[in-house]
Amino acid sequence: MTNIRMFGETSVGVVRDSNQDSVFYDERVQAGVVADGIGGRKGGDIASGIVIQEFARFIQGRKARMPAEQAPELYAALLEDINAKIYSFGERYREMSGLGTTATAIQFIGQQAFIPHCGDSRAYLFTRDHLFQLTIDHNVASSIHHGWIDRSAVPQNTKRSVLTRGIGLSPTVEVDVYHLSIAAGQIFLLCSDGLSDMVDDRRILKILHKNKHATHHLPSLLIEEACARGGRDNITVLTCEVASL
Amino acid sequence: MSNKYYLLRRNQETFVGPHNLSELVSLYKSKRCSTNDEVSGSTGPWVYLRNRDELEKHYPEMVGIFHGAVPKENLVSAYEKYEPKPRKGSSFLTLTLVAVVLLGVAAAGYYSYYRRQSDALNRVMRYHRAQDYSRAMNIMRTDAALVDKMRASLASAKEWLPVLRTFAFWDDTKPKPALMVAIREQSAVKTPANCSRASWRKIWRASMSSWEEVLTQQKLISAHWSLLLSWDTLWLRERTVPNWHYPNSYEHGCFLSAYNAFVGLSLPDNSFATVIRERIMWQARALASTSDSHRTIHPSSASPLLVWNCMEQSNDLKTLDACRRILKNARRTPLVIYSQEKYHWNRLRIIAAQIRKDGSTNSSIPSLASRTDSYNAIDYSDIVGYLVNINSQKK
Repeated sequence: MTNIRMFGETSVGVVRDSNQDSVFYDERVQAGVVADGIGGRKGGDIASGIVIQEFARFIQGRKARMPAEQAPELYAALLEDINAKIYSFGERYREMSGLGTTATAIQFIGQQAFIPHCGDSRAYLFTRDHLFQLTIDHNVASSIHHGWIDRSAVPQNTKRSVLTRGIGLSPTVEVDVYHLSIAAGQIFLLCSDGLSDMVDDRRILKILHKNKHATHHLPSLLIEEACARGGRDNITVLTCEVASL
Repeated sequence: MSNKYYLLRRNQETFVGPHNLSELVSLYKSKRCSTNDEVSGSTGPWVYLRNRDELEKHYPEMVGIFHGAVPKENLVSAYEKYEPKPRKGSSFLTLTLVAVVLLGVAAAGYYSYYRRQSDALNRVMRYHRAQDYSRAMNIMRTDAALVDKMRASLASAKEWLPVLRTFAFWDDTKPKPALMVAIREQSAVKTPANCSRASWRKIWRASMSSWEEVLTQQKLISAHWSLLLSWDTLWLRERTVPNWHYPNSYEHGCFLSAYNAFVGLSLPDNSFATVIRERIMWQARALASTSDSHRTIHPSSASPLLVWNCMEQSNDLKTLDACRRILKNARRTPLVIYSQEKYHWNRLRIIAAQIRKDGSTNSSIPSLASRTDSYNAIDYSDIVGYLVNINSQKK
């Protein structure tokens, strides 16, 4: 049976007053999730909390032993349902209208990993001392790059980091579910943009390389690095090491 | 050999690798990756292989592989197959010789690629004929070029149609609308134009708000989900349609997509969801079963949908009649009236099965008022033929 070691941590960072990020993981069912409540709006922490709560209920319930071929469908449906819940929460409590969150999760089944994803939190793969960003950021810059929106359709002053997809922002949402085969020794890193905006990928790679045999340190080391570079946002990190297959 | 590794991303959802450069060359030559894929190096950006400018900017060592250009001098160390520049003053003969050699290499490469793809196709067909669908589908799943070739050549190679039909419904995690259209032909009953799992997920989710009304008022509506729930399981399981192996028909495939989409839903906590779940779960179980005999479970409520389960599970007339009696005092709603039709059809089925057992003649099989279902337009003639044939084989 595949042995996955998971460690996760979240931090308010240096500048912010409150933490709207959330993280959850369960090694027994080999699944975890990172959620970043959308800043600038009330209720980001509630939204990310709902993701964690529903995710935990889902993976610890009867669907925890899902067959691999059903995983993409089940997880896409889960995030769509969570989206509907958060959206209708915002409709019911008007002062929190527009609350939202990102969600990037991971589920290991046998020798595969499934990564449901919506927003600009990220999943990376560290393997053979290389670091690859697996998920596509759902923001303006990425959307233009992939041809999902036309550059001319974007107003001039729009920041390229503005989200184009998030959980709870509209009645329906499109969720990506990535999947790949895994190998022993690989480390999957899920993080909120509080890490990836502060620490560039090369630095993340160095930290992973140096600590690949002590993965329990990784979340705190990465958070420290982000704080040392300004810590302008909440920072959340979840690492999943494929200890053996 | 370079110790740089690259990851490929396909359809923005699956990954291949990591591979080094020579492995990428090999993948490309064997058509296991295409220029529609994206590539990323360590901490590098994702670049579509078809985008020559971006490749040149970020991964210049790949330009020669995927865009056929002779690489620049400073790329020599990254690119393993470097073609030397011709010497100045080469004679016409030398140039001709080089051209001939290159043509020969290209022909050999094409032949080798053709052979490899031919081998893959032969293996797919062999596995499919042996009903080893997993193996056949595993090959197709990893060879997008092969699937494209089969789809494009359908007009002249009909023998690939059953295989493509299996594939369309097999790995149904992402919709393949073009493939669904290519394999569909005519459907016997009303079905969505796109019977993928994703399409059915949308149908189910949109339908949830109407479940209470439909089941409380017991209406017969023409929505896809409602019609699907009325499909008879024997009809679904035993029809034979030309060029369909697995699933055995478009409707069978459609049901599988609908069922797989349904099991992924987060259901509301009410009795209407329970009834629908019980109905579709029974249909799926009966479809997967190879035997006609099932343990009859008394329905958990008097909903007509669950009485249909009861009827379809019945193996003798006494049990069938007991199922029918559940609705004896029910309001004569459209669903209850329709259930009578279901009763008569199941009565025919049971009698035919009993005749098979004790060897009586064909003429004992009762006739139906109409061979076509008044709600979902199923033509029971398909299955009456099956029952009769089974009957005559037993003589």
